[in-house]
Amino acid sequence: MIGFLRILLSRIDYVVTVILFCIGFYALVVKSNLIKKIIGMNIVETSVYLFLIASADIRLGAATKFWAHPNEVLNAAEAAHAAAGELAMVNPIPSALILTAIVVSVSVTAISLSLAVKIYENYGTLDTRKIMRLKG
Amino acid sequence: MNQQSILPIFAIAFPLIGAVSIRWIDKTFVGQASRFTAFITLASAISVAAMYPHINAGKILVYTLSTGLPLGIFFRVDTLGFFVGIISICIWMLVSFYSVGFMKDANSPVRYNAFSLLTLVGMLGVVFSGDLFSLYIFFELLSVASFMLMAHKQTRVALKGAIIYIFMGISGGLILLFSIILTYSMAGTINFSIIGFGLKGSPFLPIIFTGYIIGFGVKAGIFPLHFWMPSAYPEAPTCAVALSSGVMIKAGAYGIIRTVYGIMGSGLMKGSLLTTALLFIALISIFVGSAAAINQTEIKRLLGYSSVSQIGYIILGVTLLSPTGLQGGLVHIFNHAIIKAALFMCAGAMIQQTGRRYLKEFKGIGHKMPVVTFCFTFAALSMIGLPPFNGFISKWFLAIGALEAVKIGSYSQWIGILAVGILILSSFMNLVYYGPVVYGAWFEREKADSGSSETQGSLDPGTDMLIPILILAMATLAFGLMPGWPLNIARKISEAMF
Repeated sequence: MIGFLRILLSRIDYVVTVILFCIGFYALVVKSNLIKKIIGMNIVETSVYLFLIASADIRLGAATKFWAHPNEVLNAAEAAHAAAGELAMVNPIPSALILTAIVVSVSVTAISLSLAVKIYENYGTLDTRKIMRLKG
Repeated sequence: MNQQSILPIFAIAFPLIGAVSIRWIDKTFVGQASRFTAFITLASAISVAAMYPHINAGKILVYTLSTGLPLGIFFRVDTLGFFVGIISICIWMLVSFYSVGFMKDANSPVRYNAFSLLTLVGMLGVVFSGDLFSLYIFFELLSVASFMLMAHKQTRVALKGAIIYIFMGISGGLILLFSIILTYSMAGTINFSIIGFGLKGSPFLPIIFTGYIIGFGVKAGIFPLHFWMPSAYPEAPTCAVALSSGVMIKAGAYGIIRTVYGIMGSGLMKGSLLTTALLFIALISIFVGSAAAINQTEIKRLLGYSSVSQIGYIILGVTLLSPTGLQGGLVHIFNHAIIKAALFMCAGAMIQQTGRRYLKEFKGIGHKMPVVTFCFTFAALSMIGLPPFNGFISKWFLAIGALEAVKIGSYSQWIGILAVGILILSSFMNLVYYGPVVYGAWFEREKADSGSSETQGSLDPGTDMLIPILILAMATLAFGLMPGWPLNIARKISEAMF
């Protein structure tokens, strides 16, 4: 339990992620308006991205340069680290993964908004409680 | 051991190219979109089947589709991926040939076929991907594309079912992504070639495991997460439902197998409270699915609840943590795909030909549609688990696996007895809800037009729909009498997992 708490406190960004996730999930489950549900879904998505970025972060780490020339000039903070012999690099893989996750979420949002339009055309309301009560 | 091979790319590229070019094909050759789709799936099936010699020789096919980013999409086909992949693509191909006849008069068959092909890309991608992130991408593609199939008719009920489906699917997918990231930051790897990611002792282990089970469980439709299934099925096109219930829910089951045996590893799961919890979820799933199916009055809802129960069998086999139990679960993936696709295709033919959908309206249908009802009877008997059919084989192995789990000490004695008891009880419950349908179809007469039904001609659909149904109905008998091939592959997989 102590170990668990220590991990939690050392990475406060994870705690923020969890709080954001809970807010989004609350909106997704409890709110009855479809648009609010979709906004909640987007908040959940944002929290997951934040989590992904936070998991890659190294304090004062340099951005990784994939395509850079090896002799490219480093900025001041990087040069200082390099001089100290510890050029900490931020893990580049999560940043690459997140691009794909964002594309997924954009398509998901688009498709659920188009569904909301269709629902409104058919039922004349966006309130899910009313929609579930109405017979098809 | 590892072999570079482009075959997985071929299997996925055919439907992808097909989905993009289908509108152009439909303009050039008017009305041929469905037939084009069927032949695309045939080409993809051949690519998957061509992997068999390599897989049989114990090789693992790998291919990295580099995108310039540090982590490309990585394909890795091992025996488990091949096993789920070959049954998926075969069922998909048969359903596609069936939908040539089924979607003839439906609105916008082009849209249906394009999204069917995209869903196939997602399904094959899930089983062929070699790391968790590629799996996530294809899993989301599967969710989003299959949503379009569920909402295809655009009626009020269809949209209502689809909105439940998409919100559950997307929340599940996000929780899955959350778990994948946690796994990556805890274990430092997301590659499936490692068995057991070394999460032992991690304080986040319960969170990670629960996240995977929720993410994959929504797609699989296990008990507390099954609500999308009965609400989306009744109004979706029946061939899409056959695909969803026969094939897509297996993506969830495949994910759970990967979680338990790949990411966690059987050593870590043994004696863990998490596995016991999942076992109880599976048992509740079996019981609740069967119990809910008894009350249904509509054929597609009945079959949907039956799927909830059958997916419970598969998860039970996975969580038993005994080699025979896993073998039974894997063979049940194979057998359930055949049986449930056959049942839904028969139901679809009945609904289309008679325009009826409630169980009480199907009385005496055996005299009007003898061939379809005959196939339905075969599949229903197989689902109940009668000996000459293939449903019996997997249930038998599951029961043996439950006893073996007690013997090797995975579970205490009373859990083993409970599992076997639930298996037997559920078989009786299957009899209770499939029995009246089959009995009524053959031996009862409809009141309204008694006597006149013989004089009418047969209502059986055309050969393009009948042939896939007949193939699957015969397969239920063939794999019951000669279960060697699926059993052998499943044994190889379960030996590699333990």
